[in-house]
Amino acid sequence: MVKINSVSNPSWSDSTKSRVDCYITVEHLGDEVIPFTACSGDIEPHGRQLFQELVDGKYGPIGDYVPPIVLQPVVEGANTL
Amino acid sequence: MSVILGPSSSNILQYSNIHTQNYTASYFVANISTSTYDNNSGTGPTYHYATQDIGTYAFLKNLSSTILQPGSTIAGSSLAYTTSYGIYWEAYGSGKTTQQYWRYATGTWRCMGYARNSGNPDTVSLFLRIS
Repeated sequence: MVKINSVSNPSWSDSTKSRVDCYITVEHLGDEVIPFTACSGDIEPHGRQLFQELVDGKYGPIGDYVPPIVLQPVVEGANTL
Repeated sequence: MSVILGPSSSNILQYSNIHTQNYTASYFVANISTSTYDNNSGTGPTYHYATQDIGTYAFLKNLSSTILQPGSTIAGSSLAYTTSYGIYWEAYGSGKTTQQYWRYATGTWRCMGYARNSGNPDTVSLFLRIS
């Protein structure tokens, strides 16, 4: 199983609180800090375990969900009102 | 690092949960689940890969506001499984285009191409799960 060395900045990934975004470092990638989505339904056991630890408060309070900024595609030749 | 698996005096060798990782120019993970090697039949060990396993590729859509380049890392919550055109398969022709219908990824993924932050199909690329 992947060994997680550090976890920081957890926040909910969605409004239903089924996933948590955070930043982690893992043994096999050295000091590189990477974004990670922890989920109870992850096929990888370290993802499921981290989600439970985050929910249990092991890494502090989980920040509120912030909806993403949705960028609308530019449509060339479109008419505007 | 290389690992050589060979037969022993026993006809059946049991390999369990062997993980090898090689950090050279590119990242590589071989995940060998419990399997057997039969000296008589010459079969095994068997490599088992499932969707979303570390070391597997996936065809995903970039849902973030960031333009991704080769080598960019991104959390699974900003990625969703997609068709080559950039829509959720079950939404095709149904009008279900809102994010509640996306099947999101988990973990951490590395972008193996370019993925824009808006528009179809330029938001779609190939991704490798690294953690």
